[in-house]
Amino acid sequence: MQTQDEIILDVKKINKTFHSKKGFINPEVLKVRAVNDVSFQVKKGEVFGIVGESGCGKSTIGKCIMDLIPIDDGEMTFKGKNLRNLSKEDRAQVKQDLQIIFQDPYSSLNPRKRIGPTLMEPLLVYKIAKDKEMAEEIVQDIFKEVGLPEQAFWKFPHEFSGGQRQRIAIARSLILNPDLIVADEAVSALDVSIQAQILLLLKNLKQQRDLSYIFISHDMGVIRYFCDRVAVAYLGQIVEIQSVPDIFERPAHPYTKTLKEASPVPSYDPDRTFNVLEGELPSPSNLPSGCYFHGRCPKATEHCTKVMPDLMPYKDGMVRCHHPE
Amino acid sequence: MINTLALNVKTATVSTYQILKSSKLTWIGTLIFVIVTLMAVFAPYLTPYDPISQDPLAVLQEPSALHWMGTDSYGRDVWTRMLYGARISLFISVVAVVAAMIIGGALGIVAGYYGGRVDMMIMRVMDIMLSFPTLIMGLIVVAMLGASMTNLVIAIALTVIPKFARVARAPTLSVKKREYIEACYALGYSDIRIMVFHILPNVFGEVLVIGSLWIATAIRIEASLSFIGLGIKPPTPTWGGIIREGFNNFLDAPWIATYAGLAVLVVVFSLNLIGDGVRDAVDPKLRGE
Amino acid sequence: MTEPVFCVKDLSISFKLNGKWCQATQNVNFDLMENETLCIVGESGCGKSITAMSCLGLLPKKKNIHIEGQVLYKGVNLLDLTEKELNDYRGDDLSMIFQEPMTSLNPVLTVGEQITESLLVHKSMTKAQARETGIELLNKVKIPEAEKRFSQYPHQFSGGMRQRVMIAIALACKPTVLFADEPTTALDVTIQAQVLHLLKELRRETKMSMVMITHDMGVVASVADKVLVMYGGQVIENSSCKDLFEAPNHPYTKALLNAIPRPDRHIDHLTSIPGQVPTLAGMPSGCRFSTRCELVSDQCAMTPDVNTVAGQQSHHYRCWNV
Repeated sequence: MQTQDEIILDVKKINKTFHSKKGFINPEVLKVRAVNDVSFQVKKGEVFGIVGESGCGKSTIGKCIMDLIPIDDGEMTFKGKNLRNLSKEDRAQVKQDLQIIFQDPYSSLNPRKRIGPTLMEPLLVYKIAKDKEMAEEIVQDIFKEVGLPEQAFWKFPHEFSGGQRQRIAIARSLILNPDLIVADEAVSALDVSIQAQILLLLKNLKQQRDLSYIFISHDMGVIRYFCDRVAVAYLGQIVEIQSVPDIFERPAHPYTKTLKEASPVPSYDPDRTFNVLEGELPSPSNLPSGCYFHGRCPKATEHCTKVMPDLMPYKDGMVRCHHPE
Repeated sequence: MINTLALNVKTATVSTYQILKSSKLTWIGTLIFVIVTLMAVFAPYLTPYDPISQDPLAVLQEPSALHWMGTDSYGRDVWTRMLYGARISLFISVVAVVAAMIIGGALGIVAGYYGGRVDMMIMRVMDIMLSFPTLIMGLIVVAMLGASMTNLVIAIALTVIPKFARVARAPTLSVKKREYIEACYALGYSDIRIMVFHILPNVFGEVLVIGSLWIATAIRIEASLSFIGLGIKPPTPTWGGIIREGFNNFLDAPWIATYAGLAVLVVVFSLNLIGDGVRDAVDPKLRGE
Repeated sequence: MTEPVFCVKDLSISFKLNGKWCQATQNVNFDLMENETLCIVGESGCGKSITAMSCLGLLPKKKNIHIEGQVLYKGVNLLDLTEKELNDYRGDDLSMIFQEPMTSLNPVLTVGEQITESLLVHKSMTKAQARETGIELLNKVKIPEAEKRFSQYPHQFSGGMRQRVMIAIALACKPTVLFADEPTTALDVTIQAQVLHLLKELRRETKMSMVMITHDMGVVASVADKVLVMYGGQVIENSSCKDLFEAPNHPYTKALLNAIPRPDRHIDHLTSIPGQVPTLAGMPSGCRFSTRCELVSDQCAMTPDVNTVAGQQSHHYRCWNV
């Protein structure tokens, strides 16, 4: 690939804090730093993974990029355009070039709308299709591409199985011919045999359409199979960014290592031990001082409890740790 | 416990029309309502009498071959007055409710969709409107605009609007959090487009059901406003007016109020049947049962 | 020692859906020895949860559910018992952990009250004794500051902690058999590892047997002694954990193992299984996997017999074409 290093999305130091009130008489404002000083770059044609456990902010990052959640500060540049400050024409273009696939194939399709019209709508809104016939043709082509039968056009979402609905959601994300797709846990709700189908489909589409993905998942197996580079998120921060072979063979951050070792492996090993982390995940509204991971980290020192490490270049990637391996 | 089985039963696609067709009760409801409407439209052909001119010789007659439903205290044929009264009663209530449905539904969707201050303002105004009893609202409107059929429609619509706003707001609140609405934002659709094409279909069913029920209530409101002289003035026949007159002579001539009351009951019943059927028909999940 | 503690014989469960009988499980058989962990693994709708529920008599006795076969615990067929008789077993000898730690605890009762309840009911302990045992149990499932935590409410616990509480409740009466229905599916991987580790340790200590329902082959490999692979209501393979992962026999098991993206090594090519997971109403006749199987032949229109792998006494599969 000659355009390997062309950066399609550049995220710089974005932050998002959610405020919620607790109590009625004398409300106490809870601040949850869902996205905390997050920076990364996605190259054209790559699959950039974001992995982490629930509450680590991985989905929020995806939604911030999609402008579904407004960010507090920071900068995001997509194909050279500043996402926070778009002209009307640029905004329409970005909406077409940047798409999202959601996790739950049951709630991401409107139960009261037939599949065909749902998919035709963006074509007509953005005047990509001149008329309904042309839109229908484009939709049918995409059905073929994602492996849906022609008859799907006039059906309702509830008439499909989970795997087929996810195909429909993928078709919807492809309809405007995007450059970058945010896949937010796109295969997590599916059965293993169906998950493999969808992963293969996404991989094929990437090659045929020269797509880039931001692939958000909690499953280390899926990340290893599908991604080129991956960012590990913990409590709203990115703690490590590395290429997939590096992160699995030589994890630099102790959390990455734990995450990998805690993931169950489908092969028989009578001597298997569980790498058990001591302690619970701290509450995101009441974060510890210093490195957020120090309470559960086997390598934590006095220094770690006091000073938050920065995300620093390390080997070929980045790591946020005082004692990387 | 059985629902843990993931019983995603495949069903054949059935159209809204087919659902309506297959539900016998809906058909009965529709049939009754259509018949009543047709009778109102063709009233002059269904009776030899005039609804207004009085006949002192035939006062308070019992139902007979000549006067199927008897006569009232002015000697007017009750059957005739019922037919002509249906014209006005149905017209007023349907127009008022449809107007309230459109305005209230829109307000409810806008309030639920934008939330925050917009929601606060709209819903507080609705609450204030709701706090006026129907008759007081009628009094205010009539005092301000004068008594006429149009103003009666306005008065009824104003009392019903807040109900529709509430009914439309609740599903909007739950629907707007769903991922398919987020998917619409991601596709860059405008707010109006999302409200009209994506939220409205999810709200429509419930509003329609409530609508069919409120037409029934509107008939009743019209009757009570007419009763205190704020609505249609006698001798123009309305169902409410007939019931009131019948009420005055209930001991001497129970048939007057009874027949008019039955008419209201039958229409309300038919509208409820239609409402139920419509709710099922607009819900795609119920198709194929 | 050779007598199984728990055994299921020819269990077939059917439901009436839209006036049509649909078979949710067909002739499920398994034996469970003392201190053994059996995993029932399969995709959604394969009948694994239903099997576990009927083992505890949790399926309602209604006209639209038809259960055949036997569920034997210490020689007693649980399917013949009345609800009242079953209650003597449930929560005492046989107990269950559910998937959702968020909804399976009652939010208005303290954790302590919920743990001690079964002790008061089944073991007729005094309140003070029950409290002591309850705190001991919380310590056992590694909940820090057990005494303080004992009188707290479920919402003050994190997801992983709640699942530990669920385990403590299930273990309160020292059950002989513990049923766990996807106990770690709702948990994060690091918490899942903690819970699996805990279950394994507790099993070693208490010598209880365990039936774990899961969809995750990784979890199976971590905890199972024996495995039942289910597909479309049939047990299609039944073997020791070692044999299953090292020498899978049924085409479905093989395909499934090749369809899992692995965290431990790089794979170039993931093999997918074509088609959709069958639903209860649209179950293929004969071999249920025949519609998606690459080895399919004419014979597959009939339900295959159970075969035994040569040289492996306890390794069975249901296929015509292996």
